[in-house]
Amino acid sequence: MLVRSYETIFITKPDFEKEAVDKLHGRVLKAIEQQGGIELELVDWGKRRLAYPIDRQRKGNYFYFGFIAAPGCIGEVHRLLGLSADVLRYQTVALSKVLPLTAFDLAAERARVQGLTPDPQDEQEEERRRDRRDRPRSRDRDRDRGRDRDRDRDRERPPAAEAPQEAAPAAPAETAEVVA
Amino acid sequence: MKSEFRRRRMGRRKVCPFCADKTLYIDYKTPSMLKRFITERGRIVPRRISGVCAPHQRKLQLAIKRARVIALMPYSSTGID
Repeated sequence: MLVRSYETIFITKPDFEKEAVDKLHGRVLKAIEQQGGIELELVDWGKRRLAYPIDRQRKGNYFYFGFIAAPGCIGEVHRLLGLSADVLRYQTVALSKVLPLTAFDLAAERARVQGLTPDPQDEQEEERRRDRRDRPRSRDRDRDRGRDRDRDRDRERPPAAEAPQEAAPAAPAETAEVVA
Repeated sequence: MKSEFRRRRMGRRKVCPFCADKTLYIDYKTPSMLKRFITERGRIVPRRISGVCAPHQRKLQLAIKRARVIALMPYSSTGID
């Protein structure tokens, strides 16, 4: 049986139901084991602030799932994860080449997964974020953007239909605005 | 002459942090480490600024992109959300 070592990280809503995740876990496990794979460990990494909101959620509960399985069953695993209403996001990364199951040192693989710890979240981050919101927008804010790009100019341009008539008066007005 | 001029302008040569410290592992699961290599707005810092060597920049790039998918790092941030 040719298999591969994988790790899947999936994010659930912070108020996920324990039973739903357990059920999902069982279903995923079945899909993996049917094709000769085995589970290493499912680890709950707890709640974390998301770097950007997903489905209007600002926080999510992270799960790390390590397993060894046939490459063919990843599609099924993803299908099951996508079916769940609690799962916001999932990502699977292959950690090894395709090898026979006997080539894996299961004890070592398990130890590796158990040794993983979630990256500590910056506790001051929240505070800083709040600070930033109150502070006036700084000069550096648009630094990443091209110097000659001006969004407002594009927005204020009149629609094409009335452009010919208004072209002459509109132009000086725009210039005046820029100067002011 | 020319080489002297260049040296003065470039200042000290940057060393790839991942080559300097072999224990430093580029992993998409550790945003605290990857954070050093994105701008305040969330863009990936070019190698000419960060001094990372080409092979490591490629790994870094993949790691940052993976971290973005699972919301460990931002795709972009305005700093005022």
